[in-house]
Amino acid sequence: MNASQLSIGQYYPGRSWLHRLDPRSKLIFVFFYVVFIFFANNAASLCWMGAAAIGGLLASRIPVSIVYRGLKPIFWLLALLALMHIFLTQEGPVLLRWGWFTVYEEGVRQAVLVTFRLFFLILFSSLLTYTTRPMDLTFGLEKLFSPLKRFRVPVGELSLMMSIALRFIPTLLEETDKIKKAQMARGADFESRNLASRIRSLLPLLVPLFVSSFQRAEELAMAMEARGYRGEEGRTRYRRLSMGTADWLLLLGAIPFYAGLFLLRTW
Amino acid sequence: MEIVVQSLTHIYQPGTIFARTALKDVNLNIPSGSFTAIVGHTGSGKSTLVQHFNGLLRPTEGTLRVGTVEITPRKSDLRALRQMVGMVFQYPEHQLFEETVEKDIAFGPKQLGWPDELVRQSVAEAVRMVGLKKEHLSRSPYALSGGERRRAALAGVLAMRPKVLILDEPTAGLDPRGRREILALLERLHREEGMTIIMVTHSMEDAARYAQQLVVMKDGQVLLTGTPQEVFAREDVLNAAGLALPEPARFVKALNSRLERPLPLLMTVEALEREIVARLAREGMR
Amino acid sequence: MAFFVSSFFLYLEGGEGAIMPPVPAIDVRGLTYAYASDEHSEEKNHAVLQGIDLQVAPGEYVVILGHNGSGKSTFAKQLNALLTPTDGRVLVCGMDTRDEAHRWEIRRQAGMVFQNPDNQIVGTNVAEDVAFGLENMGVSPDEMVRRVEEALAKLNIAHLAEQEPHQLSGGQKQRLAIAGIMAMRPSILILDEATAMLDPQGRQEVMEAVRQLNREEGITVIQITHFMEEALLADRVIVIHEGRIRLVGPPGEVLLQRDVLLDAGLDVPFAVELASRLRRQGIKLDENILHGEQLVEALWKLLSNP
Repeated sequence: MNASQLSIGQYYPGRSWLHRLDPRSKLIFVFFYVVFIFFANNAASLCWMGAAAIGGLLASRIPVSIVYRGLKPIFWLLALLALMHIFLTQEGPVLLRWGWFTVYEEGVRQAVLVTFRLFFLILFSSLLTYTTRPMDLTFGLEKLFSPLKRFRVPVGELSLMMSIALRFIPTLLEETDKIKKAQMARGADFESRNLASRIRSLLPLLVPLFVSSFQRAEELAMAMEARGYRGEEGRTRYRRLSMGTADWLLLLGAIPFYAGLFLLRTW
Repeated sequence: MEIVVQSLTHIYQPGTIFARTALKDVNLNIPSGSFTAIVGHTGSGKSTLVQHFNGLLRPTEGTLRVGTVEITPRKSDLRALRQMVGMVFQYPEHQLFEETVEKDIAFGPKQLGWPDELVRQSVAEAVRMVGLKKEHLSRSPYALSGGERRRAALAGVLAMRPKVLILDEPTAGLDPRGRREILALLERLHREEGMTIIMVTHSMEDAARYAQQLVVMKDGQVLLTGTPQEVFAREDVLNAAGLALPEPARFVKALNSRLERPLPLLMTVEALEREIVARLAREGMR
Repeated sequence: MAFFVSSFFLYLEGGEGAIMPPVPAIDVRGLTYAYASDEHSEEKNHAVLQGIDLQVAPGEYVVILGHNGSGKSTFAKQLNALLTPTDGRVLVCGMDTRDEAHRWEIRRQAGMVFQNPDNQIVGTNVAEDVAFGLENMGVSPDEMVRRVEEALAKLNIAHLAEQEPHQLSGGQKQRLAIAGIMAMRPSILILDEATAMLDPQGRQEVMEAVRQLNREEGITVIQITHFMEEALLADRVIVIHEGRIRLVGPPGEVLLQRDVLLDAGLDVPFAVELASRLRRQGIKLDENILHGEQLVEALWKLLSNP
């Protein structure tokens, strides 16, 4: 059997205390990080936030090589952003002239600020996905949003949709592979250099996939009904989450941490 | 068209922690125009093996020759094989995608770049070979019954005029009637069109009845090849591969253990009927 | 079977304290069904059921044989109220399938395993999927843990509890489906072509598991299939063809009906076929030969008597 040992997504298995935290505390901490990092506007506050990101990385015991490989694609984006700020901002004293280009001090300052902010943001939120299984993330979100059920928000249904989608991703990948091979045996070319023919060759791949997915959905719905699914009313959950000491410490520790940010920034 | 396999080894994802040896030093000969059945458990390497024959997979080590085409670990463009060697996967009806049955069957030939007239001819011939009716051609594939869709998928491969036809579990999911029809179709293709047929199957009964050559696989290796009679004489090897004798063979063996002059290992009910009647007539019993 | 017979005798003894005959697990009377929208449907799936009568006793192992399009799957779905009769009625453990109030209890009592192993697995791992039915029933989390463990053990898949569905073989997936149903403590297990998409090993795994559940837990089993080999070990075999029951009875009777089986689009057991052909050639053979061993015996006698 094509047993894939790696879970889908970025999850990297491990036993660090980050891995063992309840997804809810991680979600809350990261949420505030992502919002507040935009308030870091000087070297001190940036270093403060960055230290948390790097500290978290070390605590997760995930090999740096894995993180590096995951972050490689965004280095180009960061470089592009930096260059844009350097050459398009026209504020502050001039630092140097080079042909048509003039570099202003403010531009450099902005470039550094923006790139590091983005870098730390992505690094920190990656920590979330590296140390939390997709299913735990989904369940954590479900628990956090469950108070909204009072306001008729279909939290349970949405969460079930997410978890069913997650469950089927490997299955769909296997099926795509099968269909691909079958069409290749009929001469379909998925590796042609010609972009137009590559797009055309998507049809024999996507149509069968779509059709079988609809059939799957129908059969699954019938099976769910046969097993007593009748909506979220009265449904209990097998999966359990419990906040441990480490989780409360993390949340309590968030207060001085973010307070520190606001103290260090330039007002 | 002959296929000769020499010391074929295939490792999935070599050099990583996921490396898996699917085929180990396989040697095999498939004579031109023969009907070969490849049997073995799930995971024995049957599918991996046949995917080398049409160039979907390349050997990690070893070589094979399909007709006049040599395939080695280094050879990169194997697309020419796709026309010569047609492959029908399990549940082939899942690959139908065009608006009409006719268009879908024409997909293969069109991909080969054949002129319209040739495409038309090939489609018509393929339709005739599988026994689909003209009315089916202009309908959507999804309007056909399960058995008809499978035949349409088969026609889609036959329209490419392959010399070798590989089928992976052609009877999967079919009821007894459906199975009989598909197998009869394969037999007809073998007999009337002279195709080399390779059938990967779990059913020892089907292998016994239709194949001239049986290939028994286990854990990526070929344990035994030969005619059905030769293979079924080696029950120990079959058991080692986790396979059982087909019922007719089991019956004959059980009967022969009691007789002084054993019956030949016949594979079909019809042949056994004739043999037993003849034997009883000779002994004067009726 | 024994349970049914002994209760019947207890009933005959009568008088005070006579117990009622056990309620049939399944009681079908005059079941007729047609898809309302398709009058001239050529699709074989839209089979019609015509006047089916059948009672299945608790603890019985019944196999329903039929070719694709015979109506067997349509019939299966009548047994857990996924479909309801157009005419006639279906009682499951005494409850009418048309009664919406009983629907969920019927589905708890009569669990169904479907043909496609993947398209009935909801959970992201084995343990979670087994719990799905219990979650729907509102069972408490502590009780769920207990029942999930129990069900996994019964189906010998406890070692797979943390595995994800795509890592399982076909046979394991179907055993997972059965475990998910057993956790709900049903009295009836319906297998709708549950072995059709499995390899021989998977089929054997599932058959053994089901037989064990029937033997040890007394679960009523209704197995819908086109594999005639699976009918050999049933208590009763029912042949469905064109929406009607053609044959009912123990395998030793039904599987001898070569002509009816062939007409119904089914296979005939090897020994039955060979014996029938030999008989037509004038060779005297017992009419009740079902298994290969019996034919070997009979032929050896004929061939060794000068």
